[in-house]
Amino acid sequence: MTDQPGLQHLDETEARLRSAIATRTGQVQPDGATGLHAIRQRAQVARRHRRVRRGFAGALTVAAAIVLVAIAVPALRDDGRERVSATGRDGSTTTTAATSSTTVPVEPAPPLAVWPPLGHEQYADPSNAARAFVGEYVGLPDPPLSDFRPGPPMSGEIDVYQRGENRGVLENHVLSTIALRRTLAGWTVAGARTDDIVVDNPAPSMVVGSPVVVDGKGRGYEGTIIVNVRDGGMGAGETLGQGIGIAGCCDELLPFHLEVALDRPPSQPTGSVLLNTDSGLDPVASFAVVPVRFGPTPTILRQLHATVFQFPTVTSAEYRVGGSCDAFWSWLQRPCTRVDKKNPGT
Amino acid sequence: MLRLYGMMMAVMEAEAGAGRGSDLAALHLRYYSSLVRLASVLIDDVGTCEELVQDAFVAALGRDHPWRDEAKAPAYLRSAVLNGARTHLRRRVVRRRPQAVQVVHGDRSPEAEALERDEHQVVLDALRSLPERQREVLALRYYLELSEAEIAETLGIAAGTVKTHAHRGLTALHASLEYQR
Repeated sequence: MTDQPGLQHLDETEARLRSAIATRTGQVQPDGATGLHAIRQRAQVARRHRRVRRGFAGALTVAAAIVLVAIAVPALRDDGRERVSATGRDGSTTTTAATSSTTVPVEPAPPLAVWPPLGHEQYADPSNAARAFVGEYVGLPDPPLSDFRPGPPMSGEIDVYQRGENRGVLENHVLSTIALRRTLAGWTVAGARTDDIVVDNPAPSMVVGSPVVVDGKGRGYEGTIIVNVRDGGMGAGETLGQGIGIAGCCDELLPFHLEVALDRPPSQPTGSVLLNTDSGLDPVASFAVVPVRFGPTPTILRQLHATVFQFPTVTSAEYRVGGSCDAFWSWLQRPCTRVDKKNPGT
Repeated sequence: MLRLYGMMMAVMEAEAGAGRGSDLAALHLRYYSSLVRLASVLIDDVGTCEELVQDAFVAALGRDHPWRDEAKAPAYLRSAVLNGARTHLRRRVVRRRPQAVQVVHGDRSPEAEALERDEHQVVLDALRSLPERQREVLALRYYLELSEAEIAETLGIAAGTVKTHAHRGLTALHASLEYQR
């Protein structure tokens, strides 16, 4: 007699196991929608932690490099020094030295246009420009639009309405508002805004590099804010990099933060950041568009941030050259800004 | 809730096409439920199963290769879920070991408790008491109906070893169920 069960008995065990597993798995009904939302949220947190770790390692490297430079440069030259001030949490002022070159006046850059791209058809009518923009850039075919509202000279706005049932138009529900500007060639789209997404960063015309840091407050279906970075020649469905931010799901606007890494370099010096919500059925509902310039990440600025924020008591900093904040930032074509330690930007 | 989920599925299908977000939505749509059910064969608490599967997706998002090569994604996700389940069960054993002693000395005998459980629960409990590899092989084989080669790829072992674990697991399961009769 043997302890090994016969094949028939194993068949019976196999059948019992199949039945038990089928019953068990049939009882389990995962909540897929919540699952995807949870994955996105947790992935966002995980990415943030990874970046913080990488940033910390990078900051250490940069700080070490700055120490070397700080030792070497004064030995070679001691002229042309300006002061950079940083305000601590207790109001005290820490100063550090930054070597500045001769100030070169920078001509203010012309306002950027998001649409139409170079070589594209130009528009003599603002409504046609807005319609083409929403269809070809945002990806909403046949959008219901308001009449053109003239604003300051050579500019104005057009609202995009939500569609109701049977393709009706809900004129009391504005999804987004498109800002238009007239140039010598015709009407151009300067950007778009929506009540659902308030973009704090990047500011219009800001110089951005990879990753593009995007901050703001928003609300959307399942709290999802979809961000696409495009260069000037790109339309709907094209992107240099995409990210998904988690903001508010309901009436309240809640903050979101994400960093969108560019998968490839832009082919043009200017572009745009498109932020949109989805409706649960349509991939695009409300949208905001911010024009940006692409440039190399200003390494010197990152080094400066690392130097200033290495002191734990320093929570924000305002850089000045010759006492002028505007003079300092003009080389980046940005307005004077106070830099926050938590989000110094690039 | 079902309507909401349906809408979400529609969005995910619409998203499918480009970008990592779209990859996530498409893979989630295809594999999330079956992975949760796979974990539920090994672990009783469904909430824990969902967390393990979400962990697997998050871990995969941090890497590039599973998402770029869709053919490898299912094996990677299955493997990550089984690894998570294994870790969870080991920790649970460590945490609950003292309690297990108390149950033995409780008012009701283990036999009396076993009698109250239904047939399927008895079989599942017997499966969960098998050695790790044996129960994982049986779960992959009898829930997902994977081939020996697919199980081998998921668990990172040889196909011959899969066959051995499957046979030993089934034999041990039979012995365990016979003992409880």
